[in-house]
Amino acid sequence: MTDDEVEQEMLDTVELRHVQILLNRIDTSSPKPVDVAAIYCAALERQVRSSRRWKRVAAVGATLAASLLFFALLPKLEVRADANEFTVRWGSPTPIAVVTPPMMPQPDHELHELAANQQRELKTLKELLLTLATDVEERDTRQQEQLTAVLRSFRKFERYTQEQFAETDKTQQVFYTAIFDKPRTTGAKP
Amino acid sequence: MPSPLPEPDADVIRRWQSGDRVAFEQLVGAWQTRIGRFLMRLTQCPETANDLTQEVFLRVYVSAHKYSETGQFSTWLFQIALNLARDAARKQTRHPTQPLPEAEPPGGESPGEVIVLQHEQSAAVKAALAELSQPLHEVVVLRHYEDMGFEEMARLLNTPASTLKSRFTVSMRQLHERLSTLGFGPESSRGETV
Repeated sequence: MTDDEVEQEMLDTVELRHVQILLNRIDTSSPKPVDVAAIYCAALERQVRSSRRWKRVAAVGATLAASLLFFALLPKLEVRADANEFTVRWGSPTPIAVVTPPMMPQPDHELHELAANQQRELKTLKELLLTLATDVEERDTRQQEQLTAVLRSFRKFERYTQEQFAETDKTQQVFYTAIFDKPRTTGAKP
Repeated sequence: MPSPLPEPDADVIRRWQSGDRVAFEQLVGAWQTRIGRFLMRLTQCPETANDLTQEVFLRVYVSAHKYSETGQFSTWLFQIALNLARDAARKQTRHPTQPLPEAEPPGGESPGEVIVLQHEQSAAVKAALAELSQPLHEVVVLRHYEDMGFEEMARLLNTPASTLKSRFTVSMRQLHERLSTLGFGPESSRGETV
């Protein structure tokens, strides 16, 4: 180290020392004691503010999400109010299968005539059937009357037979009495 | 220069972090004066320093969970104070205050004049400090007033220790030049005790 450097270093040291002395001359007032109660209050306020802020953020987020959802789903939603009907429909309606009636072939003249003939034949058959039915009914009525007459004759013959039988029995009684001089008892054998 | 304060007891730290108000108040009691003076020297405004000290301990209270026990509590605390002081300085730059008046060069020797001289010296040193750039000012306050080692300052300021040594030298030279200009150089100082 040269003499100049040593001198410069000594000078630096003296200068540094002097600055340090001057720095120590600054009169610094005593700091005010910390208000611990105010710290607790401020911490509480911060907590409340933070809580409110988070609530607001949550509310805004929820609103945003709901709005997005709403606008995303709105095109698919259909609400309709008619006279006696309120409809809320979701999504596009399923296409209703339109049943178109089969095209009737245009009847031509021959077919028309054929159909008319058939109609006439059918009418004739119908009339025939009605006649037959009436005839059958008349026959049936007549047969019923004949049967009633036969039955009546049969009843008459039965009555006559019974009378004949009673007459025969009476005659037999008379003969019995005449022969055996006593009336015949029921079930007695001669 | 303040004597280096011992790091708080691990039990106090643990209780403070678990929300124990007594432990928090112990920390406040132990550190409020040092942090208050540190901020006063950085801001050079007692009102601002008091407000910032209050804010520092409010942050300590609400950010207890952020403190990691692997680091030094004092470094963490000074970091908070330093950040707040920087923010305040930025705000002050946007709304500048009136600069300190130029100090009169020393002249009289009577007892009354000595008191006046001391006040003038104090004002001149404050003015000289205020004229330093913020990084240089911070280095002077941490090194000279807080008696921090360059390694500790390096952790706090996140700057290499060699850079901080260089900054300290530059700041002392600038202060010397400025104070000499104002008439408070070594050759003009009279009757001063070291």
